[in-house]
Amino acid sequence: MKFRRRAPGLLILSTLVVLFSITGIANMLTGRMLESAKAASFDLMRDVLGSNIKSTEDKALASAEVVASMQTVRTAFIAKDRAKLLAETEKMFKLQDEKYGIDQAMFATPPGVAFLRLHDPGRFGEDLTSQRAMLADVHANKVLRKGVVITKAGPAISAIVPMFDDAGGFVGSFEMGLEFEPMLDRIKQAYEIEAAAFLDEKLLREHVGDGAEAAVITPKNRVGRFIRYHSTHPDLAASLVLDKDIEVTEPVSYERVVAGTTWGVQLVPMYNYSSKQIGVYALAKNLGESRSEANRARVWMALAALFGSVFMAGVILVVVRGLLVSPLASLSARMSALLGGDTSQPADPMDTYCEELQDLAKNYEQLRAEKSEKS
Amino acid sequence: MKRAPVRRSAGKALGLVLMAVVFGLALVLFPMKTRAKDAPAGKPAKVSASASAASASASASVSASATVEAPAPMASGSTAEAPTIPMGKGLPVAVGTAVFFLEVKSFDDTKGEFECTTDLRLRWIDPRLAYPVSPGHKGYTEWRGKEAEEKLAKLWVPNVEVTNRLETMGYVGHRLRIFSDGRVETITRATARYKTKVDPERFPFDRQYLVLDLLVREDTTDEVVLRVGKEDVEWSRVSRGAQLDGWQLGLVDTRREIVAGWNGDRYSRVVTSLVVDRIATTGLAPIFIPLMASLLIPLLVVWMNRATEEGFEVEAFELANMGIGGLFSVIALSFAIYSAYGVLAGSDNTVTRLFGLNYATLALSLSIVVMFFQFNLARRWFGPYVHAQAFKFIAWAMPLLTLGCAVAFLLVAAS
Repeated sequence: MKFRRRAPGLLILSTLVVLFSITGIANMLTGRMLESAKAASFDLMRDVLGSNIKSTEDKALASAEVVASMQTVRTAFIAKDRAKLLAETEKMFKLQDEKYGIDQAMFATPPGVAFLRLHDPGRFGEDLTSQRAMLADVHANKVLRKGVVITKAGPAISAIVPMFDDAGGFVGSFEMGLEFEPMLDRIKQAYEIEAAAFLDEKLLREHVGDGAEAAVITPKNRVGRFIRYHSTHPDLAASLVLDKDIEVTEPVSYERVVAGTTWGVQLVPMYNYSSKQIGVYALAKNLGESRSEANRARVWMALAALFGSVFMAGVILVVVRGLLVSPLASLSARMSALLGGDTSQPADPMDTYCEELQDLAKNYEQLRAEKSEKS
Repeated sequence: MKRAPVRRSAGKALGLVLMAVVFGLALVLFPMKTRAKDAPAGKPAKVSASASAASASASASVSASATVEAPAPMASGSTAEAPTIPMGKGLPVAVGTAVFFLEVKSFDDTKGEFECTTDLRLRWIDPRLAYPVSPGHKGYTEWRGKEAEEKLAKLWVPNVEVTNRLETMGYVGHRLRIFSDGRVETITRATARYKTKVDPERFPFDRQYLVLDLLVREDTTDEVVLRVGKEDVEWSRVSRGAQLDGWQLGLVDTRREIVAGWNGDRYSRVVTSLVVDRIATTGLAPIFIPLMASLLIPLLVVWMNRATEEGFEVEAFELANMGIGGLFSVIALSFAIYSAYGVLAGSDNTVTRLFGLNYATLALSLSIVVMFFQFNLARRWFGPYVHAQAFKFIAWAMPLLTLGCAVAFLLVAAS
């Protein structure tokens, strides 16, 4: 065993193990913090979506309640005067549609017959109870309901309020539906979260038929069995949500790199009033910056570990070899020479050696002097 | 001891050769002023066939304001009354805003300017312009070029300004469509130079944003708001044929903002940005190879010497000369690089960090020359054995740490 190699080797190895363990643990903690931040981002996305859906539903409900409680509207509806009802509400609806994204509004008479569609006044009279579970429920139980629906006018976040005559008798309902678009845009504007709504192609075709909304059903917008109905960033959505991702029955999150940026994607199933899945919401947040920050922290930690290792290795080598092993080896070589009869090699100056070796050096010098005298 | 003169001459020769290489590289790769003058114009990007065709198809040329994208809302004297804001749908008037990047001609990251051809589409509803249509009518009436300008001068048009535009070059094309239901759609094609903020922190792996900053002037959000609807989002993109030398074109992003004005006024703003990623290899030869080469100089100052029982083999004076030469090389290199890439000089980025590393390593090597080679401090204080071991340690630790720092700087930029 060579102390010259083994001792510094062991000390350096121990130092490296300690330093790299600390670095590894710090790295692991950074990774966990990143994961935790990511999980918080996904939670935030779900919460934002949930609260926006609720506020949109509430907005639809509030608008429907206001319209349904207007005396002139109620009078015209109770009197089944379609022309007067249209005259009373048409301008209001167009303004609401243009400015607030309310794109569907319908009066219905029991048990769920379309009386007047403000978005399509020319079409009325059909019984919708078999197609519209929410409408049927309102008419059966005479209570308000809200939720996501797909109608001929397209998908909407809708609210239906029951309407009563002055005697409290149930006369029908009024429904208002808000587009997805303003809600998703609001999410992007307020939280910098890109959002998209995907709808089941089969259901979309069944409801919208060949109407204007059918224009969205194109190969470009097709993702698996869904159609990308609206997106705040279509190009990005096309890269983030692929056929293999879209089939989800519960919230799913994943990461994907698009054009060098890491995006955290949260898919949330979209259910209609009957709790049937009719589509998927996709939300995406740029995680590139937090990931970059974590990677940079890792690089700096590794560099700090390198500096620490090199510095400690230097100290160990200089102390062990410079203060102990090399002077000892030098004295040992001189001693061997002396034993061979060579008295010409004096020890180095005493202050060259550490205190522990100075005695040895002095003894060597004494031996060398004695041997010189004898010879 | 007999070999010492040979080692000294070899050291001198190697040092001189290295300095000459670094100077040569600096002078060849950075001809002074040439790049700085040429850069703003840049190499024109390849023009797509569609772009050329589209430009050619536009009608007669018209002069345009350098700062206002949308045509002036009214021409003085052209109408008896000033066009007023459409109130038929109530206020505020929602103006759908979309930008299509047809061609990106150049991007001078030194000045933070880019030149591109864009189509700006604005859409709003003015019920006063609705008109009855006869069967077979396509649903809208269209005006182009001069005719569109004349027509627009008689209409109310939102006063949308591109706030970061420096100047408009050449032809500005207009197209106006008025639909029978009162919808108005204008498209303005303009080639212009824009100012944008450049953040070089992650150079040469940086990402920049070519921004068009659209702001409604005069009308607050109570009167006019810019909207980015579904169709606007789909329309806002970059042409498939567009290219930009040295950069990879990415996605177009659009976001709405509110700008605060006086007395609580608020103004609508839309920021459309085209993402561009620098092709990292473009900075490798002109910047990073000379920078890495210059890092060898201080290392050579240490490597050229050798510890002996008496002290050191090469005299401190010669090695100090080499170090000072290296210092001038790095100063020359930094001057050359910062002249050509001004944006790098004033910020914290990979290049400034590598220069910092160069200076730090030179300072360290000169300290070693003075303390070890000249004054033999380690030998005086701790004896010949510590002196020899300390020198051995410095000989391998210094290059290792220097390399580690350089790699770390690059990894930090790339991450």
